[in-house]
Amino acid sequence: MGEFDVMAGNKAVAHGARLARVEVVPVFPITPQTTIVEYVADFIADGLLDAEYIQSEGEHSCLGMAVGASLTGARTFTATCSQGLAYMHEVVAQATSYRTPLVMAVANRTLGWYWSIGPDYTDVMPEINLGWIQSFVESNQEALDMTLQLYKVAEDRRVMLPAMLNLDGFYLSYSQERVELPEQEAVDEWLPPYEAPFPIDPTVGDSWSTNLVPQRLHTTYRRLLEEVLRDSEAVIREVGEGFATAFGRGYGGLVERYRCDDADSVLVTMGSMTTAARRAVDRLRAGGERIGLVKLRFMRPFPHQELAEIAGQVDAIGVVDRAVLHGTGGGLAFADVKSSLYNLEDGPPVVNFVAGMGGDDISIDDFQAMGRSVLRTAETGRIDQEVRYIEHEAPPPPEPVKLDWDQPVYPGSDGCAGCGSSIIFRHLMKVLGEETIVINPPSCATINYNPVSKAPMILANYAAGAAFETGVYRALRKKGKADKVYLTSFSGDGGTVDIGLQSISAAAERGESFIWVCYDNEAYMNTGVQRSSSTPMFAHTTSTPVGEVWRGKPQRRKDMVMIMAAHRIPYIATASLAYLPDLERKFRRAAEVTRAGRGLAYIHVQQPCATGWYFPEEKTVEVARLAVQTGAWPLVEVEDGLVKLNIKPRELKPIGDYLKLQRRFRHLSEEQISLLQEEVNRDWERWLSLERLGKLPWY
Amino acid sequence: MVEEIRLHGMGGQGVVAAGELIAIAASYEGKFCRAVPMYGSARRGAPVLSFAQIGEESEATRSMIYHPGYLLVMDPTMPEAMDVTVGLKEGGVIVFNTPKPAAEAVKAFKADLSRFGALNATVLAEELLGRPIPNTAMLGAFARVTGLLKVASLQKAVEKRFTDRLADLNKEAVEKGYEGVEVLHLKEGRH
Amino acid sequence: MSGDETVKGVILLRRKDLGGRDVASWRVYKPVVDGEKCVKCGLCAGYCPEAAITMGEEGPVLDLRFCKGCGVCANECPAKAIAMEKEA
Repeated sequence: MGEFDVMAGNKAVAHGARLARVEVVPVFPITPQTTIVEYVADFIADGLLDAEYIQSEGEHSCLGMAVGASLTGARTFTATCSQGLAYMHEVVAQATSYRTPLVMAVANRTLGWYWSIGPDYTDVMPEINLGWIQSFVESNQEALDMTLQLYKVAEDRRVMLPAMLNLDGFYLSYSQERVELPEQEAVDEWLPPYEAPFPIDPTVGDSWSTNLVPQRLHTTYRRLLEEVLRDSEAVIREVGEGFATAFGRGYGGLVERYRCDDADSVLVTMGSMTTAARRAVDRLRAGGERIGLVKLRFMRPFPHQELAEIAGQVDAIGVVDRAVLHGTGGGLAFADVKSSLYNLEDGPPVVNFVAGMGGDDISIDDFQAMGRSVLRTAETGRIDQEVRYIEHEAPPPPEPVKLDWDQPVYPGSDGCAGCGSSIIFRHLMKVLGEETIVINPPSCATINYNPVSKAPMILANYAAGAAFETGVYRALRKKGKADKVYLTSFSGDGGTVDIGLQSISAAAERGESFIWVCYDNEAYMNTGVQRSSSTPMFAHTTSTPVGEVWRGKPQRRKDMVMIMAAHRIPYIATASLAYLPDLERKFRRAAEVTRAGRGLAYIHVQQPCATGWYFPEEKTVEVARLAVQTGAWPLVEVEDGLVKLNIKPRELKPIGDYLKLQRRFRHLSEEQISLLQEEVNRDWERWLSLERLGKLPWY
Repeated sequence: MVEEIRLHGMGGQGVVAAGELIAIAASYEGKFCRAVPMYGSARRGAPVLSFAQIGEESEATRSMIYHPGYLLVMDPTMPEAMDVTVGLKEGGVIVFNTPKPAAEAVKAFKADLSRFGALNATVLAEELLGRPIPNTAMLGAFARVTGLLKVASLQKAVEKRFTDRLADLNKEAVEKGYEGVEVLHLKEGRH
Repeated sequence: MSGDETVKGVILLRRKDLGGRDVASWRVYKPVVDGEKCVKCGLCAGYCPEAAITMGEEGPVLDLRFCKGCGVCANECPAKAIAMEKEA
């Protein structure tokens, strides 16, 4: 028996990965998964887990890294959800065909064509039929235990398939429950290291997986994959039983039956909502009703056998879904159950309840109502309503304050007190005016300014910010409006230097004539301060934490000015919210250049962030000013290849003046500070020499 | 039986940590527990909500808690700004951080209560910890008013989350909160 | 957010329905301007992240509905004319 602790589901999963001694962990943050990979970072930073940790630039790459690592023979772990999982989609299919037994935790969150950070299963829905093992857990303990079990199942030679562990965002991911931590030795004995059968390392093996198959044989391979998934059922049961013997906790096999023995009807659920459903069943039973509950622990492979048995014993089945298969009229599990039972003789009527979408809570009362509905169907043998949506009223949102206001952005916002991004946004929009379209990849700004911006502010998918903007630009141009409506992005550093870089590069190369404004708070702030490639060297972030083994981010930051200059765009500038006239002048210049149709104008503004850099919020502007005065943030302009250094203090203040205000640097050694000073000095000399050069030679 | 607790406070008062400590203490007593922080804007000065559940696993739910039987109100000014008693069960229990005497402080709440506890936890925390973080003192008060958890369990929970001097001081805060809370018995009854 | 009877289920933000965001309840401290010291430079209005300060003829005009009490104005005022006082 190991020790216990009270912890969030995300931490339980991270402990699972640690105990499984995973070897490679590529990561990308997305709420509510993020803390899984932060806890893993902490374990590694403190020497508790020996693994390669890769802060990927986006989820498509993240899963690419995972498949690459698993192919090479490493036990691999990653995590994501929602938009991130969707971004991985084509690689999800690849992982199956390569037979890579990696485990991915999905802290379920709605796939937001209706945006929410709350849970439902629309994120796993598009991925569920791609050949991965799909498991769903109800408690934090189950989350830890299944992380371990899934490695054993996945790596079994009879399976050799990737596995997804689905745990509900917020209900499990961020809620704390008692979790027993198995002893490492016990886990080591039960789960030996991964021995890849066909690692691609040519010094280890002489065969490697391929997914290039002649067209004529594709149907055969699909059949074989289905057989493997069917074979995996036995492995799942075996592993579950073995785990129960070794660690004392069993969960049943592919399904758990709760009070089904003499049931006339059953509800079918999965995930954490099951607990409330159990209570509803208890209440109905206390009232004399004969109803039971079936918890789907695995949706792939689908438990046909178990469902067929249950169907033979009951008069009605009510399937509760947290995902709608749009266009079919009903939910995901409903379609699975209905089609599974269709060919049975005398199968019972199956009805569907769609509930809890976007994280909407499903109460015990809601489940009781569903239970009564199924019981009625059992009684009458008639389906009154095949699919029922369990809907709730919402309190009205806060009323906006009506006032005479001539600026394009109304006062107030949902940003942190002292938010620098707010200062930048107001001045940008002051220059451009309300006849502007603002393209906004996901970032703090999305939450902060949407309710107060008179100019349309459009949320663009994270990797496609400049792509959305290009589409808007071309449509404006086609309609003769390109010189009548300003078009700008308002993007964080994440959406610019990492996941957004591909589409910005493409837009710059094609010569799209719009403005790109990056407000750079030097980390992924909206998800809780994870590093970006704009994070300065040595800074603490939650994915580059300071521990025994790690001392902050090791790499220097990316130089976006030179990257954009390599694209030969007409206008590039850095700016600071502490130098407002310079900032506004640069916005105006960008507006002129783009309105004249000359190409992309790129402005990169530093945004000190009290919340993520850990300084008192009243010092936002002071920190920004020091950044310029110490040379940490040089104010430069590159117009048609001509470099200009805008603010030249006679003598740069020592970098320590800037660093000491920010607790993200408080761990810095003297040596690290000297290194940073040297770098700043070198960088400064570089700008001076480029200024002297005249036009950049490749323009 | 499952006891459901809602914790109210402002950012910086340790509301989320309090929920966690309750859950840990309950674990030490062999009870099922769940602590659920409500993440809204984690802004300074913004109200924070947290939930805790203690009891039997066979009675637990993971859905939201609509009708808590107990409220822990960490901020003395909160009842003026909002009605924290929404959904509180009949015959519920409130433990309130307030400088006022219990008989006066209870008037801030329009609710049918069976018991009420008042403790000047902010001052106690200032004196003991040097910082106005009332949560551990309030947990001691909570133990006394509700009888749901033992002081010893809460102190073990403190040891699990704090180290050395901070652990000692916070354990003392729990004890002082337990001793110092003024309890009003308003009526008999389960809730 | 609103709908539109011509397109079922569409979700719209209408410009006329927008307005300011009342954030006064966030505040622990509020800015107080000393008119004597103020030199009417306008920096407070320029820096306020919430546009709670605008420049009037007599000097800065505070609309406290929109003030979160961040203190940037007080920190930046070159004349030290703004003090942050605890809300009652």
